[in-house]
Amino acid sequence: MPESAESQLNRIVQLVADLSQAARRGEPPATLDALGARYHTKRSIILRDIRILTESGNHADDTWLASLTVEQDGDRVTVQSLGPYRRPIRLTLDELVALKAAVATAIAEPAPLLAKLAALSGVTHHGHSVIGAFPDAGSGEAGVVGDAERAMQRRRVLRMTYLGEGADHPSERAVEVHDVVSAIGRHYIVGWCRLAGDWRRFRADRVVGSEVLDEPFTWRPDAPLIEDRSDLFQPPDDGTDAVRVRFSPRIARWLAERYPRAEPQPDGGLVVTFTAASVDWLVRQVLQYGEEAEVLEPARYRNAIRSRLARD
Amino acid sequence: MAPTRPNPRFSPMSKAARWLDLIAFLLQHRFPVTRGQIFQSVEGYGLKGRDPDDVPAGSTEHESARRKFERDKVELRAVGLEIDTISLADRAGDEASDGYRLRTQGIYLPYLELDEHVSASERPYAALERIPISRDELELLDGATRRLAEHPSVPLRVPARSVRRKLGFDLPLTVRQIERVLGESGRDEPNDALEVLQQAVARRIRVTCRYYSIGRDVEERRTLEPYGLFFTWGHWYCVASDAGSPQLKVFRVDRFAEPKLVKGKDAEHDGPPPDFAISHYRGRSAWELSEAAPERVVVRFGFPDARWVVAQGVGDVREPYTDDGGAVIVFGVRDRDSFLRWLLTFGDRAVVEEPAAVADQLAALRDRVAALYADDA
Repeated sequence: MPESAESQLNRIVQLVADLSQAARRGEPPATLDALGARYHTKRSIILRDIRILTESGNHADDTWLASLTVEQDGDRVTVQSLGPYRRPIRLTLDELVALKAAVATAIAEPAPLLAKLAALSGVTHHGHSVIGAFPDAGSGEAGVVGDAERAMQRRRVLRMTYLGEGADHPSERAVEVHDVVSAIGRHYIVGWCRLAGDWRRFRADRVVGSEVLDEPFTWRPDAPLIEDRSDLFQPPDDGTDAVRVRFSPRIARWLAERYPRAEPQPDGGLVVTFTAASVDWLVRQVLQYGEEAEVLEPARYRNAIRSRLARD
Repeated sequence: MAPTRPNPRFSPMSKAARWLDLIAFLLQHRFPVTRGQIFQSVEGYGLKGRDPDDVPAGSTEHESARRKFERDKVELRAVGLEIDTISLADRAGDEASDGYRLRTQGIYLPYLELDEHVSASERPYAALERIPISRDELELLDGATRRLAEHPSVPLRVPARSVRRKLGFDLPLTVRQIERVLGESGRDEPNDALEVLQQAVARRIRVTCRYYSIGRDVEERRTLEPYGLFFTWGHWYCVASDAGSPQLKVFRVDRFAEPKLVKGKDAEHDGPPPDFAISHYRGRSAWELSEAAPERVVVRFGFPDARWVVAQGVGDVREPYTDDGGAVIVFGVRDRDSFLRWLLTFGDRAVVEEPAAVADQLAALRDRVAALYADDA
């Protein structure tokens, strides 16, 4: 009988979590036999799980795949995630039933322990719906990030109202922004906080308001580096654009499978329409192909590439 | 000879892969995302990358994607993953009025904490709930779940084993070597390049294939001895040697065509050289994925790109903070074409200081690409 997607998902997430934990602890790679025994399945299923894990992706937000490494050396496998899936998912309904049955049949007074373990399950009896007014996805955050980047590039102090984690009231900060990074879907402003008199990393989504002041600051050579390779530079712009890119016949055949809806051209080339949330991201994507890729439209993206390539 | 058709790397995306992509996408967004954004970005709904104007709400394609997404929400709930539906009160119209959100607290197992010190690196998700477990409770859980998991006939033994794996992520449950590896009877023929190579690496079997070398723009038939595979920055690579040659080479898996396991007496090989380790390739950049001798190239990066490059940990930083906020970095380049294409993405904020030949090549490449846009000027 074919295995259900639920069962696959549960095992794949656990596999990534287990092997990432083992890698963090410096343990040697596991053999396929050991993994098969641990998950009560075949070696070939473990290999299939790894293929499924790396099957998706290739869009601007795919930092999760970029943060994933997999290695197979003979019959030994290593998987390490620096992004999602570093813990198993909560207990499924079947697992919760099994846990309750196990505890209830083994313990005279199971209720206190079961109550404590109830939070292990994400299963609810009925779906819930949260009603509220929210801004468009990320639009407020994008504005803050834009201010922070302008402040950094012009070397001007950024004034912001910041609500830190656990804080009851927001505080007014004057920040010398030295870096703006995006990691696993969140944006961080790294800078010298004049209030704290020290380096701070602020989450952009906790900034209530921001303003770029005219006051300049001097670059500090001891700015902290981004420690994590999963931190990706991905400055967002407001909104998204449909950007048409033409790939030469020389590489088109290798891109056709990745972009099945691409438009084949009479000369064997391929035109792919990307949804770009960031000019910078798109420019990098296109330029990495050298002369084998050309932005066709919109004009502002062509201009961005021309500007990037212009000489001083 | 150029290939006539691409090598299909994967069959249509599986539901589990779609869910993995969907969950990762939702976790990356703190604010609710609309269904349209999900369809635009998540593989598997058939609308990724499409212009929304081409697929209006109510069209057959859109309706198919909507139904698939609604089924996914229901089925994921059965797995224990609840996607919040948020009413976006400040929007108008049916299509954009709902947003969807998944929080780490809603998906990952809370931390089970025994009365021992746990380092922060062991808790990658700070927002997750923590459940203290005493030694007595651990013993109870261990004994109770083991008894069920080892029971030879009750159906609940399968989820009980899964429960033990999850509890064992944080807690030191006792381990017994009672499990056996299931047989591999009825092994199917591998049907894509990665699957063939996975089997070849695990079983030390030679592979025949056609491989396209993009640098030379040729496709050649080869017989390879694959020693290892690695997935990094979204791509699979295979380290192998041509049969009979001691030289190791790195191949992009998506450039294999018609790979087949060799059968018969020539199938097996002796394995990789004794000092081979796939971890040797860990963290390498694209221009380092070759066994050619490295060429020393010195590059000056301008601000703010220098910050990003330094943080990536590529190359050896010679001058971390120049007066203008830039950096000078020394690279060991094994694949010059790949390196030049990477430098090109920085535009004039990457200047090759030495050797002159590489600087000239970068300038020529930049001119050729700029010529594509010359009519706009």
